[in-house]
Amino acid sequence: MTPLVDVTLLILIFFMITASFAPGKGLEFPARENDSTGRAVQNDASRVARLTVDPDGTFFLAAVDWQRALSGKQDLIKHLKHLKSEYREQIELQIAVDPRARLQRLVDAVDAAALAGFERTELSTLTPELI
Amino acid sequence: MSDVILDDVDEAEDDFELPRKKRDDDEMDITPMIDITFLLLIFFVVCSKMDPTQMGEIPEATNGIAISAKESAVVFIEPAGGDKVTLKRIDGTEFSSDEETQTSELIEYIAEELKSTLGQEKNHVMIMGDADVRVAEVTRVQKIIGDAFEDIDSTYIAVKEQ
Repeated sequence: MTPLVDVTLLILIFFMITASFAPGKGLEFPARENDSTGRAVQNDASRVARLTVDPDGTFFLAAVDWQRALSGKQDLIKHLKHLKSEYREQIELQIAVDPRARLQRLVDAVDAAALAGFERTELSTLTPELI
Repeated sequence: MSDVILDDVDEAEDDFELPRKKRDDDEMDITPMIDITFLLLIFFVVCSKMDPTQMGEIPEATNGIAISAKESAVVFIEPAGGDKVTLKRIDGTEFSSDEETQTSELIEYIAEELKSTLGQEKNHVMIMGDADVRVAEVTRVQKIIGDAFEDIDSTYIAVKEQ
């Protein structure tokens, strides 16, 4: 009887650890097409900030009157929140990612923007001519 | 007289003593525990499903939208040494390494996946990219999908909760 109970408990623990009930999560990205190099941005330049992601994963945040190189996601969230409060939420964010950057850094940039309260961000991938 | 009363009390105590089943040893009765364990085991066996999409090192994020991989056409992008990547289907089979063949295979696969669940809202495409793959590879897949399927407005990049 005891070995049966032991095995049952082991199987129970295995299923409890590996069970997945919640659906996975995903970040939504607008569909891209080969013939479009990104939407023409015609925003007021004084209300647009630009976040660039380098191949090595460094973030460059350029606001209207200042710019900074940021290395970590937490640092980026802090500066984006500051940016949002500085311009009283009347600012839009453009994210440009180097195609050589890692996927984690792209996700970090989009996630940080959402965490800082930017509801709508414009995302583009840097073309080789611009690098 | 007093002896007689004492004897009566002793007899009464003997009468009210509940019959106790003597156990062979002093071990705890584990039968209810086994019952509950079996119930839990059956619950987990029935309710859980091995999800291949939970494997690998997908990027971490806090703000992901809950979206089931079961309701999406899933494309895996895995690193294959250096800057090369391997594209895989949900069943684990690889796409061709030749770019042109890969494009047509990818379109065919996604069309088939979306068609197979028509009417069940399986109209999402989820890209399960490894956190270490280059953005260029993900963008290439997104562009193939964007070019081939005009009715798909967005694609999803799978993330795990931070």
